Amino acid sequence: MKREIPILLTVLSGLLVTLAFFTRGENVAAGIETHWSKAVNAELLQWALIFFSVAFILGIANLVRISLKQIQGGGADAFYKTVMLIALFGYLGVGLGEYHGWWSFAGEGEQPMKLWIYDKLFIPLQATMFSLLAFYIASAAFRAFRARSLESTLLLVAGAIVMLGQVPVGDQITDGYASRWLAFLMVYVNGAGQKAIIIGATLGVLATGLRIVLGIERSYLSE
Amino acid sequence: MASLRDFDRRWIFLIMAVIVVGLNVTGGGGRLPVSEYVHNYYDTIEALPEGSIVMLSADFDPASAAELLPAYTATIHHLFTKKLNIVNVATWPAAPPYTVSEFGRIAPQYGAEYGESWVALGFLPGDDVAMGNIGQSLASAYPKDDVDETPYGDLPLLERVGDNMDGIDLLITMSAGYPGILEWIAQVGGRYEVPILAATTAVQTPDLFAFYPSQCAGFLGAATGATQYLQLVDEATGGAVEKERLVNQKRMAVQSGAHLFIILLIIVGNLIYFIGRRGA
Amino acid sequence: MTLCSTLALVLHLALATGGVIAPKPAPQAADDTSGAQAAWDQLDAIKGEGADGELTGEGLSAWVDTEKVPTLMAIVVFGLLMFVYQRKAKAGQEISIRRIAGLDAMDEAIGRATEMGRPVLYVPGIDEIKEIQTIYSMMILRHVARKTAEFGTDLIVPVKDSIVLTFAEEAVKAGCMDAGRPDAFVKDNVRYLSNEQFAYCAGVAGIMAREKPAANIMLGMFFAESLILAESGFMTGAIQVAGTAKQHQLPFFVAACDYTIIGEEYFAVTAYLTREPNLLATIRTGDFTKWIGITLLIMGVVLATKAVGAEGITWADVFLRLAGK
Repeated sequence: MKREIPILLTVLSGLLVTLAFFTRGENVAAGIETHWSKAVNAELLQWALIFFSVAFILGIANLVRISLKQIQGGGADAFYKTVMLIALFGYLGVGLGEYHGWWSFAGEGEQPMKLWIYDKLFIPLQATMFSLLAFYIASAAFRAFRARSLESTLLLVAGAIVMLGQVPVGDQITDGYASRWLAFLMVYVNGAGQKAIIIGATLGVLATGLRIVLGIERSYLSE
Repeated sequence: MASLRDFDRRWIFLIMAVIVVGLNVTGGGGRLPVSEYVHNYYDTIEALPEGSIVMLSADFDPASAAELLPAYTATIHHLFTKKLNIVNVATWPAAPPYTVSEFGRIAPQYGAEYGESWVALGFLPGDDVAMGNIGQSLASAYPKDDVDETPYGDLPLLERVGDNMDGIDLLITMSAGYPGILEWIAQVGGRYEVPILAATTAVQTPDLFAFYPSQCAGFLGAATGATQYLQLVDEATGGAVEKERLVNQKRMAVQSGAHLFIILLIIVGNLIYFIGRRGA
Repeated sequence: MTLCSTLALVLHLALATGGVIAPKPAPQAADDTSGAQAAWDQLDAIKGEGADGELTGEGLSAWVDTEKVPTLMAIVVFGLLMFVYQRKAKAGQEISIRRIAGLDAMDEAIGRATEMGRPVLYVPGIDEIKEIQTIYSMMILRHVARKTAEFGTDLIVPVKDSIVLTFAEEAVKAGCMDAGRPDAFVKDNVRYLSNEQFAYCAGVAGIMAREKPAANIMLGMFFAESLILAESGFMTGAIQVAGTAKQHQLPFFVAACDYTIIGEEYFAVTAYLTREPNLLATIRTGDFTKWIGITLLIMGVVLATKAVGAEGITWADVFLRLAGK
């Protein structure tokens, strides 16, 4: 039963949500009422939101359990794990305390502490991680983009045109041609390729989705 | 040759850092030609009659703010200049602070009253499921606003919107990835026939060509698109976004340097490869 | 929801690209008694719509969104095709599947990690479990876990979402059971890192740098972190296999990884690995549907090209022309 019940729930909710997609909402002018499946769908969406929120607890429990073990073991990671746990519970405490008015670290007219942490720590850290891409793309360009075959040569040339066409200096060097070539590549070559990949991948999604909704695909559940 | 091929890649990182920082300090940027997609983004907003209601979704975070925040700022200026009303939502948890700071700064410049001309509904968890909820019933998705928890029906602007997407004339997303423009198209654009505009990060821009213009009427592709749009808005508003325009034009000069360096690396890498192959 | 949206997307792309989608014609004059007009009227009655398209509250339209009927028909056709091919496959008809280098490389990568006595790192993307690619990644994870359990190699699975965490634990456990080695399941090796994209990315890069896995397998839905992960993995000297159906991250994986599973190849993984008739049949169904799509595209392009300059062209006109009337 541990396996049958989840499959039954998947099939039922999958069919209900699919039915809701094809049924009509309220139309006062025509005297049409919202189909019941839409209401069920809306209810399921609310449940999904609650599940997503509650599931955070599972993740935090796993994180804390593994981190505490590593801290107790005193390995190389112990220091980082300690910092991580302090950050996790510290920020949670600051946010909860300020929201409920239990405490406040900010003076009159000052930004709340949780926003200060967001502005001064979170934003720079995120931006730093994202900007690593600039370095990694340069390193990948040097070591991996090779004209080994006709296809890879075409990829290289297209990549160079796109990079030139995206920036003002490209047009200056090529007398305005770079942005025109870019537009051609993007609209026709890329547009056609994108549609082909989307159609192909979507059929894969559709087949998998149907298999799951109809209960044929079960391998994502354990025995 | 082998030493050239296997040299420490941190030298590449260092040169890239020098180019980016150096051009940021010294570089200046000129005016960019405006592409068709950016014109369409601008013209779609221009075509809305005064008092129309636009849903502006902040679907980005600090990591992508360098690309999307200028477009967000310019869009807010543009909408207020045209006397359009704005319903703010967000499907990325890190986005609402930008709404607070940008509207806190820009709305007073246009005398735009909270509740009458704009509202902030805040972050809704659930990604594309959340978008589906917003499309199906905005009032159920957001029983209260994000500023002082005013009930949905007590805000005059939301009363005008009603419960669903019928009251929304245009949807604009600042899209950094998932969930973003593609999910808005699937969950809302196709179902409720709301026209959609987007500002996207560079990596997401090529995806949009498959949906332009039928499902996405216009878009600002990365920093380039944002800069072009800033130029248009700056002219239309008489210099309201001059600072952002100048910063972004300078960024384009920085990007020029970085792109040229990457092209150079590709050429050098290939030369080493071909010389090495001939030697072998 | 995803199911319907995706099919609607396929249909729309196919039809819009081919120029087949055209507006319904304006109502004809009252004295118009042409066959086409009568057919339209009959169709309107079935749909429950008046002559100018307004809903009458009767017929199908009282509860069915008639604009979505083509999507429903396409799902039914796809489902029937799948059923037919499954029957054929079960009856013993051979369904061949071409070689996918990236998939063959997965076993090689696990073997190499075993020889080196280092762990295998499996990154299931950063999306939630409702994303089909993540569900698929869990199915592949089960296969990878079976292999690592057979070889006695450690398998580390960092996840970004709490619900994915439970699925990943189950998949690894099931893989170990499949291999007959339930003791090979190490609960602490399935790790939740963070729900924040770049914090998760930094966490995975940290595992790569400190625990030095010999093989990195990255399969699922990836975004801006893909290149950071792939380059971090390259710097540790790991053999890397990556795959995603997310087209805008593919170039990064192609450039930075040893083997890449591209687009729809990704959805052929379990069929390729297990050769199970049911799964192979769905691959064949997809291929057949693609031929239908290609035919529609070509038809649309030809007809739209022929119709250039003509005004008020409708679906009915298009098919009447096709029939030579």
